[in-house]
Amino acid sequence: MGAKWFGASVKRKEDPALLSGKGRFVDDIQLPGMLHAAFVRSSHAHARIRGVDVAAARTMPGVHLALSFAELPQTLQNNALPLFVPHAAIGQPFMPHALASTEACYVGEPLAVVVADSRYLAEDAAAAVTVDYEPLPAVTDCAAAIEPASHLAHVDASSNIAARFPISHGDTDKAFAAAKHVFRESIHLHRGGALSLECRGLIATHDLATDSFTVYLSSQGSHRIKRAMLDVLDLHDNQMRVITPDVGGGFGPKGAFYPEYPTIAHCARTLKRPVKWIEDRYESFLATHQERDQCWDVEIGVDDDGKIFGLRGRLIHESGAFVPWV
Amino acid sequence: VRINGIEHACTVETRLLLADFLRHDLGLTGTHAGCEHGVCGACTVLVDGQSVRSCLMLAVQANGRDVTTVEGLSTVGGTLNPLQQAFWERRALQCGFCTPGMLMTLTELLADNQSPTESEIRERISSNICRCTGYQAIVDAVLLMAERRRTNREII
Repeated sequence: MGAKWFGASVKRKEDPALLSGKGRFVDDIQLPGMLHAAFVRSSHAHARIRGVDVAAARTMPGVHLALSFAELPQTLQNNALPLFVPHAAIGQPFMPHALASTEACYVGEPLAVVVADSRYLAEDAAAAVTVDYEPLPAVTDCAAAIEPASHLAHVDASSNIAARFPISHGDTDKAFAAAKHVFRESIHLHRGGALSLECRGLIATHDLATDSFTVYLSSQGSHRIKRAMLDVLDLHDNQMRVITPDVGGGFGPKGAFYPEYPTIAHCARTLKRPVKWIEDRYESFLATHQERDQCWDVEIGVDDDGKIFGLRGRLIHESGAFVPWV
Repeated sequence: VRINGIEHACTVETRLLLADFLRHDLGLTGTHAGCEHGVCGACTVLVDGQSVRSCLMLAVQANGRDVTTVEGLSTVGGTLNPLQQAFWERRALQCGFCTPGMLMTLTELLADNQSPTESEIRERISSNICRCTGYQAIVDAVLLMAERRRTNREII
């Protein structure tokens, strides 16, 4: 690098394309023979799924495939999505499957997928999928969720606590004994949403000759997505290439792994054609990760001058129904 | 329909959105779909010179109209127009997803108003969302262009 760049005002090389409509975001990519997917999502925050009927959807115009959990291959029925950030403290590592099987645990959880000649036709057919729900009590408040009498977020959970992380440094009791003033505060931080202007989305293609996938995906880290795809689909390292084209904002949630990704890969392999799924804004509000509610109970010990002697407290961190990124 | 000066004769479903027609039927993918309910402005195009949300307009409603998209701003050879050039120089884009909508919204403003003030620019782009929050740089770029218009200086 030449010294001429230090302190210089340098124009970005990618800008002329982005300024003239020649960017290449995932939905801008058109592959020959490509089909389009739409998902059927849970309309309940918590429900037992008695059955998902895709038969009517399969007869709709332009439809090539309609799948619920029951029609997924054994791999995707056995493997839940991998823990992205594993930790020994996670005692209940609940992770979703590519499509929910017998229980839906949040509004927007994918229950079925329909692949058709266009997104319009896929959405028409998705509306013809019928789901037999038995609504269950929902858990919507993280402070109440850890009380022993709370309803459970999963029917087979032992409690709503995924993990406990005790952390300490120094002798806090001694520090508080020496502090002249102690202040206590309860603070609630709501979960924000990142809401990138470009929603999530991917295109998956499967090459029969090499039995390998190429996936174009709006992500913040193609290598980690590739690893998770290989794990959930039980593939070898040479069977998956993940390409991240131009990305219209990520802000965190596009770094994570989602049920739609292995589902679309499976559809492409089954149909022997490229399959595209582009999340619409409504889906994004429901199914893209948001931040975590935080309930803090904290106290601080100080002297007359505001010098801090000690800090202690408890944080309840809401992870949602699953632990995708603790 | 006339799009960026070129006549197109197409038969489409009545429910097809103008944004999807431009992007998928014509391959003009510079127009972006961000919120699909008329809030974010990423899909803004000009129809007979007026800015519209192409996610809220049907393709059939553009029948016989004159549509300009972001692809129509630069020359065929790829030379950026003065507004695009000012965006580049003032770093008025990060991810680039809102950029086409911003450019079309501001193209309309600059056609009506040779020399907009900062508050006029801010009011106009209040119709468009930039999640990288590059608003200040976008305002700076338009002010730079207006300044160049006033002094009639060569665009560099």
